[in-house]
Amino acid sequence: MGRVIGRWFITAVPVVLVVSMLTFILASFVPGDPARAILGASAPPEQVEALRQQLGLDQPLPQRYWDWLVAALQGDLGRSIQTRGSVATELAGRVDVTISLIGFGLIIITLVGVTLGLVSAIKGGWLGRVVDVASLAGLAVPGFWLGLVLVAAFAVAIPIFPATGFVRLSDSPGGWAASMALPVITLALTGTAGLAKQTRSSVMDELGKDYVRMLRARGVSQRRIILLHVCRNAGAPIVTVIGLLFIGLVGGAVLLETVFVLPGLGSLTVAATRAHDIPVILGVTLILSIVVVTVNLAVEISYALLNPKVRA
Amino acid sequence: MSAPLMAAEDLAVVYRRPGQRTVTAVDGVSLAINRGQTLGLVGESGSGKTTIGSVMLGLIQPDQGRVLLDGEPAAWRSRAQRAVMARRIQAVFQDPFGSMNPVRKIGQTMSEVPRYNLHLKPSAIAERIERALADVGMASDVLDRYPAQFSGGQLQRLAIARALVVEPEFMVCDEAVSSLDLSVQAQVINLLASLAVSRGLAYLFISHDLTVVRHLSHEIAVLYAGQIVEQGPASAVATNPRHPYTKALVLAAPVPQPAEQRARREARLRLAAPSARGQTGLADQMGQVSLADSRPLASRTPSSGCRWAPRCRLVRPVCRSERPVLSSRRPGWKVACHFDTEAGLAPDLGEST
Amino acid sequence: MIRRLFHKPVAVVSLAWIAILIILSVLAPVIAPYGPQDQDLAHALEGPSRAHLLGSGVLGLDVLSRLLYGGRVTLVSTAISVSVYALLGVPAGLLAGYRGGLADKIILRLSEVAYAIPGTIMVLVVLAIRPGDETAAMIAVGALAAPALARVVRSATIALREELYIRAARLAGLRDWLILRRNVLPSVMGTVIVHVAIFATTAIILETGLGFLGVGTRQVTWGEMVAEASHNLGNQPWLLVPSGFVIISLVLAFGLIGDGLRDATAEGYSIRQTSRARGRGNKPARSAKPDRALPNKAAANIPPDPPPTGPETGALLALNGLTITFETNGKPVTVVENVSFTVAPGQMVGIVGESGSGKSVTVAALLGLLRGTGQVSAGTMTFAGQPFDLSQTKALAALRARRIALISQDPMSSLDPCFTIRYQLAEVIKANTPLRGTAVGERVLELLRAVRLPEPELTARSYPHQLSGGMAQRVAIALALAGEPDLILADEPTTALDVTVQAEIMDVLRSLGKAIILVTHDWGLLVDLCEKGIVMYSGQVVEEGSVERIVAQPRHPYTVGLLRSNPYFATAGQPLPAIPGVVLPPGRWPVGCHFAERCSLVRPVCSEARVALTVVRDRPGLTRCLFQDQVAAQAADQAAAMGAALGAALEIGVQGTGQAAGSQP
Repeated sequence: MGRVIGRWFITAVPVVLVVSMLTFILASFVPGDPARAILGASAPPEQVEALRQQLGLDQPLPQRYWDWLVAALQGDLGRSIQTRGSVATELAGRVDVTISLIGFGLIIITLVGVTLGLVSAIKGGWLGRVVDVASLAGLAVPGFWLGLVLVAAFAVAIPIFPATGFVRLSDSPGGWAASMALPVITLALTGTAGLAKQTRSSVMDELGKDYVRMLRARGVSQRRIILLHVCRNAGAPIVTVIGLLFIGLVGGAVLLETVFVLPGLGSLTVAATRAHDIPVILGVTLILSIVVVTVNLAVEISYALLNPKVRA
Repeated sequence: MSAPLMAAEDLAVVYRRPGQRTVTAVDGVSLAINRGQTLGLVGESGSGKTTIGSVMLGLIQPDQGRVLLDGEPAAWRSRAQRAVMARRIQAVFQDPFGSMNPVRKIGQTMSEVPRYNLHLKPSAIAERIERALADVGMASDVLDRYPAQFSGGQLQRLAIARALVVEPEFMVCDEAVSSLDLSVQAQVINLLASLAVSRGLAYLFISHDLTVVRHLSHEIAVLYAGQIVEQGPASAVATNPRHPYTKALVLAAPVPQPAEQRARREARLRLAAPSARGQTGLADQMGQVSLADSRPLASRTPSSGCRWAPRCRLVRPVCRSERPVLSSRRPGWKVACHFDTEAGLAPDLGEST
Repeated sequence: MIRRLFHKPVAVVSLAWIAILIILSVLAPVIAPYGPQDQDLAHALEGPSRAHLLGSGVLGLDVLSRLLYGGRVTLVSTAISVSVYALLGVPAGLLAGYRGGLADKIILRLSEVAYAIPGTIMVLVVLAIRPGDETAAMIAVGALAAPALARVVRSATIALREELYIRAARLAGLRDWLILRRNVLPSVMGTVIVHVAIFATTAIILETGLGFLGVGTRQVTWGEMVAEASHNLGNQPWLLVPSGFVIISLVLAFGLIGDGLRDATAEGYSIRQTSRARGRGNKPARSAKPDRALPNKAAANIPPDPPPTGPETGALLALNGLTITFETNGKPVTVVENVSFTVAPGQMVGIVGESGSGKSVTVAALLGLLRGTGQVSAGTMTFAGQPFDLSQTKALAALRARRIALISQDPMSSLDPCFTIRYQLAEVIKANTPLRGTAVGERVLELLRAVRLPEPELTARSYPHQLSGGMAQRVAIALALAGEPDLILADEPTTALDVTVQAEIMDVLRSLGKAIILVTHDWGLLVDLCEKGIVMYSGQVVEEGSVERIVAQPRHPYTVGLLRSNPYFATAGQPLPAIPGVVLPPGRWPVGCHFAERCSLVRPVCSEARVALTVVRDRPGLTRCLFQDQVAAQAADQAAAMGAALGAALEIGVQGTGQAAGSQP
């Protein structure tokens, strides 16, 4: 297990560095002058120049990246151009919204998707076809559109849930649940059938393998064969799919936060994009790339737990 | 006597993988094959027989030694050199279904080399293909069909035909009949034998099946853990082996004659009877390369002394300390065993308890 | 493969729909009833009407016209990112896969980085830097996804690189680009198109998402129309419908094409898969274009053979009239026809035959373990006095492991890779015996010792991948013994092993003291282990009797031919007396003798009617031949010839050498 974590560490750190570096370099091509953008068009040139020095914009690019990185490691991601506030504080206040949106979505997707996939693989027939059709629908229906349909149906036409807005968990657990319900359901609807289909094909692959037939020949019960042997063997590819799904859900969450006006990283990114707020953008990519490599670690650990060959 | 058509001198191939022990898969192997002759290379999995074939085909660069074609060093470094070699040396492999591109018609695959390597005119290509197909006993309407429409035996014939189109002098057959059913295998063996005569082809015939090798070869080399342990005339090696490993190999192969098989079984059990250390299942531990563990056999055999020694019934201290040299006590017949005397080992084997 | 796609109506409709959308968008300026920004304030936010066929949005903007114009943006953007995706991903993947080395390492690292970047976020970064530049954003989308495609192409190329035909082409000194173009690219193309279609769906959804967020282009887009709908959800929810419909239908079209292509690719591959799996038994040999397919005889029409030697009393197993069909292209095809035999307690019986003879399927049916579409259409079995209908697999489950055990061909794949040997053995012991607790652990070691594994403790702790093939097969035998069965079915148990290991495994099987049915293609193994032999050809038993008798005095032409094909009996320098022709695939079997087409003794009568098993005249046994006397004469002639050849057989301190086949008692 130590080796798995070690191997992950060796790839994860460079990945995070490269992602941040790439974003930083891209951001340096931004047209216009950030100092001018902060101070406004009417600010005197001396003042702009002073801010440029203060922001380190007169330094060469590698130096600026190094400075940013050192500061970032100490938890300082600079100041937002839009709000002038600390980027780190801004992100910290929002990351929980995004994570809980994706997290709850993923839990529902995994529970429902894997169960559905497993059952449809074993029972086959109409359930299999339902999964096929539903996974195509899940692929084809954009989450933001589905979210709007759900709002139109369950917030406007039949007002069960609030259409938009967010209530903090600390303020009112009930309100929080109500405000998160539609976004989470929307997110879950877009991914569940896809995972079910993947699960079904993994399970069916396993069911066709020789060892399953031999377990049957050795008098092991069907229930045990499926719940223990097939599930464990099919688990590894499914876990990989869930990891990829997580990354996909990040994109979905960006749009859904806008649809449902949730104060998460996604809506922040969209706002920063509109305002060319580079420090915020840099902060978001850094946080998300760390989240993604952490998810990858979870995937690799589960993979190793499931498969003794990887562990060796 | 002129130089042999194809020769290997003191070949060694070492597999180095980062973080793992380096393994000498082929160790000091020398071979020579004359025009129109067939050399059979016998060994079990991990013996290095396929590696030797790959070296002779230029697929693997040996770490030591060289390959000679007509006495000249053979080289496959540049594409031009490979193209030249390909006109003289061709290969037939084990898996008939993998040897033809499944998405291309047979005719497209067969015309590839004459067109892009030999740069022949379409009419000349058609002529050659027709001749090759006739030689392997297939009709020319196969050219418009896809590999999936043929059986394993038919595909193996087509693979042979594709090699023949080039009109080579030397062919490496790596387990070329091993995956075929008995009745089809017999047909392909006959085909290879008749081609050797009609086209004057020389073969390096690699197989794990001594019976098949014996039928096709003039000479047999027996390989164990990367080294040749015995080499000599085919019928002599197959019927009266001198090296204890060759004996074990011959005795282990079951034959379809009840009395003979009973006798062989008894002889084998005597030869492999558990020694004082009570080792059973040695073939598993030492001889078998596991499906998952692809380390060549050589990595689990002693690096000094005789590599067969740990499994040998006749082992003496000298076997563990000194590597036996492949030496000739009979004309054209070489054995690498410290106890290969003129008298031979046979009585010794027969009487041991 | 593309051709196969056109046989799928769903895919054709999808392609047509994409084509229609493209044409409509291109023609938008000509056919759109209004301009994209034409206002009609009198009819703002209305449902479908004569003036506005799909309704109107804010300021009375015509929904239909805006959809037509908006399609241009989405389609062009999708085309851009798909092109970038394919143009970067395919060459990079080919390079990495075919060349390997440094290029491979760099591309792998890049793909790891790309995996760690959520695409939507990166696109927003690009748009923050280049506001409104949707082209740049879509290029970024393609570029960011390209490493994933490169990885797919890379794996496909690496697999191909190892293929013999690529190796042969390289050996022939063909130029790399030629090999890539002629041999590699056509093979990976299917996979590439599937991935491009799936990526197109992602690109479309992302592009419309940008429009929805209002960070993309300033032109009218489908996404922007969804955003417009979102602001008017309360008063005109209809607006969600047209924009949603075009987006979903376009994505769906690409998704369906991807699915269709994947299926088409899989079908193309499965032809090869099946043919590769030949000889693995339990699957009917693939029929090669049944150009003159004979009507498949329904199993019911076959008259049963007369009970061969009368009901053997005291038989452990008596199989009667087993007929098995597999479904090929929706039609049942008979692969095993009316097979009957008996096994006495403790008797070693061998079934010998080539691939397609039905020998493996026959033993699988005894346990109700037919693969795929296999079905027992007729056949009963009496086991230890108890009758079974072999088509009722449920009842057969009770026999598994406790009465009849199975050992399969490939020892490694017969074990679950995820569990230790101890766990798997204990599981089978607990499932089939009353043993519990520490007794189970002791039994595990006892079984491992019974199959003569040198280090039972160590083996018990191991996972399957840590064992050699021979050790794995010993474990498989131990597993078969765990239920203390009376009969072991060993289906080609040593085919995957070296001969020296094979000999040791046969020693183990011989020492078990159980009845065994050995399925094999190797005459030597049959002789080595079995007393009774059954020769199968094309789904039928063609000869039965004692092994000694069958190899010395064969009474069926196929048995004679198959024995003579063995190089062991060959005369040096003489061609092997091979059987001409090929085994007919199931579904093409003739009404009369299945071997007639390849038989040297064939007469017209052989093809007229079904040939029944008859008693061998001068020895105990059965043969399915009308001319057994002629076969006997032929076999005697050959025995004499073979005897001469074998005169010079082994001399390695082995007794009994030189006894020719004909001189056996």
